[in-house]
Amino acid sequence: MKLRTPVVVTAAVVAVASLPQVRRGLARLLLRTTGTVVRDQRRIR
Amino acid sequence: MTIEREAAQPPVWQNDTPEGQAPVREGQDWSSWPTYDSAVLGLRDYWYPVGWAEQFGRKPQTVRLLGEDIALVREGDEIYALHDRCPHRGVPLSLGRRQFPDTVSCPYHGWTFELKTGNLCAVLTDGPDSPICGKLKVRTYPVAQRLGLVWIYVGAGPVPPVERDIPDELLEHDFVMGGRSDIRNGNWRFAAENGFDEGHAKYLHNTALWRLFKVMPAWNKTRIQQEGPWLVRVQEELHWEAEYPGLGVWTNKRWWKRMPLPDRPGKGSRVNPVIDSLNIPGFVSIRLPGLLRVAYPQFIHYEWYVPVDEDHVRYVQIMARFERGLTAAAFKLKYLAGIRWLFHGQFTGQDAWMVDVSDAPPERLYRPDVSITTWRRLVERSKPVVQTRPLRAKDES
Repeated sequence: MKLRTPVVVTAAVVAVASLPQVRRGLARLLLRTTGTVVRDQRRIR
Repeated sequence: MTIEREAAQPPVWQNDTPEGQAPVREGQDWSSWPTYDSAVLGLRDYWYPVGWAEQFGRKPQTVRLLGEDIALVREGDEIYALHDRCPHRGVPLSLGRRQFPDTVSCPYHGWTFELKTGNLCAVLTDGPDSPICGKLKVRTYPVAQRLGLVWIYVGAGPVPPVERDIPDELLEHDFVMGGRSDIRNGNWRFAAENGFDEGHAKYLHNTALWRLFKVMPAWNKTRIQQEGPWLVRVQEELHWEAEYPGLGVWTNKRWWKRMPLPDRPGKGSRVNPVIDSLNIPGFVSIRLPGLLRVAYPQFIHYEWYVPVDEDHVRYVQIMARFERGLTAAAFKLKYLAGIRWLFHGQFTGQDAWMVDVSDAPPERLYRPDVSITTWRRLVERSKPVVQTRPLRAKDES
């Protein structure tokens, strides 16, 4: 039980952070607080 | 007059004296580059990055580009750009309200413009039958979103695809990137010249924390090579230290610094395959309308020098690593923890300092400035359309 808790919490955090709306919100927060953007870019052509 | 011929003559006092100004000699002004000399406000007919897409929301915001004031407004996923001036009384539309979808209304009398076309579609203080509706419009600008950046095209005639002004490698590969966009003091030409300047890195940046553990050469000889749209600085001779008669030894070597860096990205022991495939013959390259590329074996740093007005430049910096997965995630952390502060902060902050205090012409160039003169020649050869009469929100004449 004790071992499973951090795994479950981590998985939940990763799942929530993967939602597009959450990702966009985090990106905006990062930009506003640090003036910085980090992002993955898929090939355009 | 060549440098060698001049060397045989006694030194000439170059600066102003209490008796008067020193004469500007041939080659010390920018008359050899008339187009470049006149391009104080930048070059038209190019796409320029003006900020990150996340910066722009439903509330209108203003940016200045090539001296033109532009209001940017988001509607859903689209961002629209209009000249930031209501034709009625000259009030900035960026102060306006979003009264109806797909429109922006001037905050003064409610003149309402379509975002897409700039057409005046309603005047809220003159009733639905206002006779002025449909009779005028504000100028709109083509907008694109690529690489997380908002790009605006300033020019006339057919609009080229934004991809024309983005390096191919950033279009044809997956990558991870970190970046910053800041407005800095100084004219865009000084920023571009500083970026491609051969001589300064070894001296100005030898105190930068980014280079704390890496040796830089003491001096070198360079030639400039054109590769497609890029001018590339190619090292011909590299010297790590030199004895100056009567003065002593000059070197950037220190016991704690690693050396040497390879003199071109493809010569590194571990080169990213994408960067290797570019076959760039030198570390640093520049192209129109003012984009610098510094290619390291594992990543590439890009700098756009976007003209804001006569005395300001938007410095858009991107560091791209052509990786995915865990390596990409590690790069993001590294960027936030270090690169953002050390390279995109302090290191290029030293450049910003020099761009801010540069004051030329008149100027007296020296051998490594072949990088600067070749860049100016490229601009001249390209016969660009120079920005002359920008659309300002307020007439400042």
